[in-house]
Amino acid sequence: MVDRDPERPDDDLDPDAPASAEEVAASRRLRDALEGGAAAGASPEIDLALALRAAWDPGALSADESRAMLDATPSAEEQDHAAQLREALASKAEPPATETATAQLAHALRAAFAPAALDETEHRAILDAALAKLPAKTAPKTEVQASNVTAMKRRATVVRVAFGFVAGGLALAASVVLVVTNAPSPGSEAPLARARTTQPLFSEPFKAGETSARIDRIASARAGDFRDNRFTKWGVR
Amino acid sequence: MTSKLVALLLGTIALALVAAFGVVPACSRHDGGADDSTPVDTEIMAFLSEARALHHEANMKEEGGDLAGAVSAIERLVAARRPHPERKGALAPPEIEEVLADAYARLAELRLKKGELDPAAGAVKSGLEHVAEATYFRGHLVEVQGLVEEARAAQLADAGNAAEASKAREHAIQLLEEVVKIQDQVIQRSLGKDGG
Repeated sequence: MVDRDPERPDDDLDPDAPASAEEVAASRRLRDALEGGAAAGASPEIDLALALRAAWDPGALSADESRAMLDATPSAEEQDHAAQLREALASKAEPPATETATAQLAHALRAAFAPAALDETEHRAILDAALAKLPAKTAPKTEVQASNVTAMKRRATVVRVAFGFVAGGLALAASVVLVVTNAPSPGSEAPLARARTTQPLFSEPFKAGETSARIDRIASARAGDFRDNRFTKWGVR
Repeated sequence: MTSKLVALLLGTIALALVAAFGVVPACSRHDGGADDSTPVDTEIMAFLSEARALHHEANMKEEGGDLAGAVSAIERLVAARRPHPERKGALAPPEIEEVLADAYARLAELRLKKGELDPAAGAVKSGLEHVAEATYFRGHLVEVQGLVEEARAAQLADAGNAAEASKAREHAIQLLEEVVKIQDQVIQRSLGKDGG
């Protein structure tokens, strides 16, 4: 495995920590080995990577290799290893530290391919570890605080739902008002030009002798309104 | 929880409806000064047409030197049947009231030309009843009233009644000053509307 830098914080405590120089170098070696088809035994990581690739995408055996495998008779030691591996895989529990490397590898492969569901204890441990990294102000430190967090989340959900209801109610009411106020009521007419002061028709004080000119302007302006009103009543507008 | 949310929803809708229907009619009333008035209709147009015709008739008679004929034409106008007689005071169509005020002003001018000062002053008084607010129409009427009093002062002075002539002159000056105020109000209001 890759040696850890004692200066760096443990990845278990800080999983988002940037990769160290050693990790980058190990990654590069692994990539080069996979691309170049390095021989087994270079390092445990490379052996594992090659084994995984062979399991995922096995290459074709040569005729000699195939014949040798068919002709080979497992030794007693090999049969013993096979029995141990079968028994180790039969158990769904984590293999003890004393288990052979082969059994450890088999467990790791199985966990990677078909991970088992976390039990409650493991889940709690992961949750506690994550909550422990939260800032002190927000991190609940006790079960009571944890339950308070849950209650607050529930209340926040209720508040959001309530706001949704309020907003929906307002929108519904607004739409009702809009429809009611804009709906043509029986007997009502389309907007008509109304009788109103003629003052806006004049921009300066009146002069003597221009009275008939003023009535001309008033009559002309209101004739336009009257014409518009008739068109409106006829439904032309 | 669900029942509380439903109650909250219903309460919100009720509150919004009450607020909306309380506000909307109020807004309508505010905007609706014009809704209290009658639409420009056949009756109004008929009166305006009649007024126009009588004014032009008065023009021709006045140009022909027939002041009595001109006075007669305008008197027919102010005595003509008015549209929507059921609408009185502030409910009367504004343009009709303004046309009548202007007709009375012209009648006063014609009377003034004839030297009939009291009938001229009476015409002004009748005209002022049709325009209460400061408008060009009211300003013009007061202006004619000032001219009538000016003519009265001259008439009294010619008659050797200096004291009454002085009173009439003072009255004329007051009226003409009032004209200035009215026109100033009209202009200020017009500028305010343009600015707003």
